[in-house]
Amino acid sequence: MTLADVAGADSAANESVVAKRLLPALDEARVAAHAVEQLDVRAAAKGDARAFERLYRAHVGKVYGLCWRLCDGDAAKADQAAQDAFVRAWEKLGSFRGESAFGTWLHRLTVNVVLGEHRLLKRWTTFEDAEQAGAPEPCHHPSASLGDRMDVERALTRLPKGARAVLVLHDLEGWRHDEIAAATGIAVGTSKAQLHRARKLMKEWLS
Amino acid sequence: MKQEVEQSEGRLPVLDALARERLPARDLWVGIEARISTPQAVASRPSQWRAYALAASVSVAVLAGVLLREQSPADPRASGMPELTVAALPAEPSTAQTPYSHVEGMARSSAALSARSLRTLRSESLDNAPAMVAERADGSSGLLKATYSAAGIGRNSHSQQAILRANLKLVSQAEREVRRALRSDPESASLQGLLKVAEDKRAVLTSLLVHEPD
Repeated sequence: MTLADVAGADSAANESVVAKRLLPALDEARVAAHAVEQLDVRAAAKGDARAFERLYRAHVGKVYGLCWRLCDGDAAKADQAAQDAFVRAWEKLGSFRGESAFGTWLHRLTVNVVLGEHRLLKRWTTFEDAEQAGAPEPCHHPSASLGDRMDVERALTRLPKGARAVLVLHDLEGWRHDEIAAATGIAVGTSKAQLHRARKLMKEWLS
Repeated sequence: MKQEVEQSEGRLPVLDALARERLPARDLWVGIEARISTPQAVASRPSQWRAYALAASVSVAVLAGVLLREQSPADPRASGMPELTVAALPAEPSTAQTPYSHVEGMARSSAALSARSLRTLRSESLDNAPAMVAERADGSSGLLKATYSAAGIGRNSHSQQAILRANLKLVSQAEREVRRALRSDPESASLQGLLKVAEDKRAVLTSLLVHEPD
């Protein structure tokens, strides 16, 4: 065993000790944060705008990110959609029963707001507009560099609305097809077909 | 499961690099705060008082129904008229989970009670009259639907007319409350069902009152 091996073993052992000490503390912090959020949800449901502002600050990143992707990367539309989603959340907080996490509930509500509550997506079942729009400017290496991420974002915005919505919800947000179908009003088979075609288009554009 | 695995296999690795979160260029809270502070936004929130107001109006309707029942003959069959059957109200398995479940439970029991009250009232009204009474249950909704013959109805006392009017007023008030609640939650199936019950009850009471002489 070399000195480096010993040092490596020591380092790994130290990391393990640190992890053992830190993980319970992290769990406790997570539980505490959840409890605080629950209190804020209850207070906001009773009309406490300050509590609702704390919920806004905690979730605006994810909500806005989702809106931005579902709105063609259009910042003005995403601003409006995110505001609409939070206003709708404020109005509907009384019906939130805590069966899921507040963030999950808010995410679903946001999708409903952005997708026009089942109406718009029914018109998004064709890919004709994608073919008319043509491919985005090609990128050379679809890796994780900043420039390439921009290309991936640009390719995403070129996808037809329905295909982009399904791709974002399934591959980025981790939704299942049945959940997408329930939220958008399209059939499960349509959701799968949209995903398949969206991936194919993205691969073509990014290769 | 297999399908989900297949779906995840085709996933684009480049998407993993994309950030899930993105902050807006400006603070959106200012606009949100302005919108949630408007009286309209505050009024559109489902509030407890509205549910309690609905519950209160329904309970008064129940009380009125009970009083009406006590003033009627104990057994409608004593009048010689055939006993009318009252259709059961539709069962709502999800009502226990709705924010208006307590209201709906009261409304349903009230509807059943009032239906019995109406039955005795009709029997009493038709006493000694050759009227034809037909009552049927709508197979699709299970809601009470009744048709009356104008002949024979009209011998009720003033107190019964007053009770009918009071019931009508209460049912109309309950209907308004349900409509208001529906404006804040238009997709609520239970509220829609409750509205249908209230509308049907109002129609029945109205048709009884129409045939009543002043």
